[in-house]
Amino acid sequence: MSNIGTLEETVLLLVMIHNGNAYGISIAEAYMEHTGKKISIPAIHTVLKRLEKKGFLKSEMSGATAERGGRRKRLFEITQGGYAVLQKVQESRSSLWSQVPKFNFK
Amino acid sequence: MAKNINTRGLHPPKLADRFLQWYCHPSLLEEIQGDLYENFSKNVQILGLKKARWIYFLLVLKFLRPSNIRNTHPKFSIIMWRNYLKTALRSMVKQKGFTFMNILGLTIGLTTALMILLWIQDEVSYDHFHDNGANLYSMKRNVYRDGGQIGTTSSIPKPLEAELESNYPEIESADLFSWEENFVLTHENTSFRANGHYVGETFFRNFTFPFIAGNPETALIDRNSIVISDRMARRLFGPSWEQDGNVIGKVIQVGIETFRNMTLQGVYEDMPSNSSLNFEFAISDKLYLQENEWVENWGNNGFHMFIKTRPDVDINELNTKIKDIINNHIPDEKVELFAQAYLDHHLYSDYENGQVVGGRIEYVRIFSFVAIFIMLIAAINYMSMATARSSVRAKEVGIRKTIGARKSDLVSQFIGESTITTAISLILAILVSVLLLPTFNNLTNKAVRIDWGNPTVWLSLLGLLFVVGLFSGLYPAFFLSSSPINKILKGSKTSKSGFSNMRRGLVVLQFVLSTFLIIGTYTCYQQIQYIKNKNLGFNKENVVYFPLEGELIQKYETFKERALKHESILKMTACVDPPTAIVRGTSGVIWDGRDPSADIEMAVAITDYDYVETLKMELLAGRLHSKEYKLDSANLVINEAAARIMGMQDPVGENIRMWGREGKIIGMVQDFHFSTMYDPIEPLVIRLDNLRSGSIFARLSSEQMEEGIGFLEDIHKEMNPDFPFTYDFLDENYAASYTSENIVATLASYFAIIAILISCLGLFGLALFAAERRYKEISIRKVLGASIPNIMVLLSKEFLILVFIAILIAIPIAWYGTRIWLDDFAYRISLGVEIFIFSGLLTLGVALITVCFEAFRAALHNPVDALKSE
Repeated sequence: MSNIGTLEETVLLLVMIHNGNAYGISIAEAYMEHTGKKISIPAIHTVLKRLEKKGFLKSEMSGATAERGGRRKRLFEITQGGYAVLQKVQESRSSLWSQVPKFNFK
Repeated sequence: MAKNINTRGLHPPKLADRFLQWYCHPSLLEEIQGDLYENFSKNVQILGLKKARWIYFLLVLKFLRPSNIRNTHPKFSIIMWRNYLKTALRSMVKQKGFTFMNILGLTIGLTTALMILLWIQDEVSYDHFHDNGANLYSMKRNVYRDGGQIGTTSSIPKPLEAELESNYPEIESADLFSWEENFVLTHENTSFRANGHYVGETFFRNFTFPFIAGNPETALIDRNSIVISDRMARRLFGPSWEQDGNVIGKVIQVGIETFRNMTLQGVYEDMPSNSSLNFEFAISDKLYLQENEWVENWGNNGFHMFIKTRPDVDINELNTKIKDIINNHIPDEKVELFAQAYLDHHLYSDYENGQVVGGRIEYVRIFSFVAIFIMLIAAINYMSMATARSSVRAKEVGIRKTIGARKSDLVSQFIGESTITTAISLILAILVSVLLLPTFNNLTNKAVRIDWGNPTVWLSLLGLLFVVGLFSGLYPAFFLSSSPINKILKGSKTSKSGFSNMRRGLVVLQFVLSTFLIIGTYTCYQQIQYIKNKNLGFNKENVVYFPLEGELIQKYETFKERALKHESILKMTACVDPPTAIVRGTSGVIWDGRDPSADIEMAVAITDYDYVETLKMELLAGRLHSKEYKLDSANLVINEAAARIMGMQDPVGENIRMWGREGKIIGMVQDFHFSTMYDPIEPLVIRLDNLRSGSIFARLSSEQMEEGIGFLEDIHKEMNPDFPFTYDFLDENYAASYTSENIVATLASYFAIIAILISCLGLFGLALFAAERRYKEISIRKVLGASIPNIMVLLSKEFLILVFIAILIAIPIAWYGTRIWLDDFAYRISLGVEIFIFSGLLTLGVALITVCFEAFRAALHNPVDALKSE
């Protein structure tokens, strides 16, 4: 199973959250809203494409609107593999967290 | 589609959008463009249109990643190119006639272009060999004359030197440079006459004329110093002077009025042919200054001057600063001083109203046009022949297309072919140019050579190859590759004569250019003939002249007396300037009724007795200077132009004052040309004086020229033994002053011949082709009873109509072009109809012969040969 970076993980999660309306712009906006960091549309496109290539996402074209000049969106949806990898990341993180002793910062 | 955005008038930048569509992979375009539009319309609302458009542009650039770029087809495949090369060579070999004509045309064209390029390169390189070239300037002054005219001259007053050097830190040094002097140089028993100058001490430091012996820094410090050229050294000391021991310090006698001993302080390399300064010796200016105190006056402009500035000086600033220097010293005249870059000196020497208007740069421009014209004509030949033969190559094109060649493949194939043809022609052209160079140099008085070590030469050749190859191949390439496959392969022909409108246009263009060149050349030739044969107002034939120098100055009267005793010597006089080029002028002629504030320049001929008689000028009124009258030297003879400017109908007997002496106008001569034909005849006064320099002019009887010259030589040897007797003919000297016009006319005539030759070559090719295609038609016509003349008319009519149209177009253009050239001359031919008729008929005639030759051959064919095969 392939590894997954932080950016990829976040994007994957955002696709899951915006299920049914996950495409370049919506993900880019959600990312900025969530992290407060800027990301360009071309960068998001690249990440989405890479995730699709790894098999974590699948896509189809639909949902043309007037403001897009009548052009369709590429809507992304998480695959089983994608869901599994997210879960795995989450589990391994939880397991690590559970081993962390209690800290008392002063 | 994009309606919604457009209707709101807020659309993303078109250019960026088009760029995206161009590079983006088609399967990704929709989503990317969609996202970008959506983003854009949001940004418009938040950030405004301007910023949104800018962001759009940036995002398009950011999307430019390998993964988004459309698939590229391999552009270059060795195997395909090998195939192209093979087919190109095959088709060249298969059609030997056309290949020969193409290569011949292009070779002639390229040779001409190469020669012209070399000529231009030489002209442009003038004076660029000086290390300090960019910091050297020549001082000039604009003189404001009455009537608003501004004259520009490079003569300046001597005191300027000290003023510039001490008060202007921008100027490192200023050097005086005298008018050209012609002296005899003697060492032991060898004497030679040569041209040289008095120059300032730092001249050889500022200008790069390398020394073979001696030190350029110090050579001219002493006032009795002289430096000479290598050529002069070889003459005086023998060809191997360098080996024969030290020449520095040797004494050379220089014939300045009388012989003076000067010390040789240096020998410099012969000045290159692309130097605008070219002289055989230089003497320290101190010698001259010491003996001519009058030069210290700010009102006497006896020198040229060159300055060297510091490298960082802005010349416009400096020019504003120095503008009024002369005026400050002589307030009653309006004079503006300025410095012209020495490197511009050669090409931009003509001033009008204080502004540079041109000079030799005009010839550089004219010849650049000619080179382009001729290349264009040659390239058009290639184009029209290649497209005319398109049917021959059509099957190949059809099959290539069927197999999968795209249009761009075919285009590059055909451009490749034209480049190969050009390359072969270029190699031939280089060979021909190398062979022609000596003749060319002879003709143009240049020492042009091809410098193979210079990378620019190679770059220009490569550039020429690609420009010509591309240009001549472009149209045929698109023409051949764009015909529909099914039509080609079915074998349907495009037009019956193979003569598209484009080709008609090309033929017309070729002949417009050729006719233009012919008319231009013919006009140029006529104008030069006109100048040569124009009645100058005096008789320049049978007159010899030689310098007045040495003991002759004292013994002139005796010399003249003795010479005139010989029957072959009819008349004799002496004068300072030759009558073909009187350069001395003065504003110091005062007559009764002259407006005292007006600044009127008059030319001055300073002469001995018998001036008008010897040169056979025409006396219109009064008398000439004569020994019968005492004090005649205060009296003046004037020309008609002077009488006009004085406003006198009958000037003889009027009072006149010149240079402080009161006298009378004793006679008036008819206007004669004492300057070039570019300028109108100016007012002139003829003044009698005791001459200390200048030339002696003798009119000989035409039957006994040789005896006369022999006799003059004999008495010259006897009376002035230190100076060699060297003489010139006045008419030859006059002709020589139009050398550069002559060269241009000769070159232009060659170019016109070449242009018409290449055009006809193209025409011949087209005629040949048309005849071939209409072979069967001709045969059937013959069988049905057409005569040979019928068929010739049939075949040549179309071509001749085109040539005729071309002539009609060329005439007004040529009329305009030649008018501009002729307007430079104050005395010029009028452009008559006959020039145009002659040139038109010549073009038409040559075209007629070309076409008829081919038509005749076609008409003679036996119809059976053409018809039996079907």
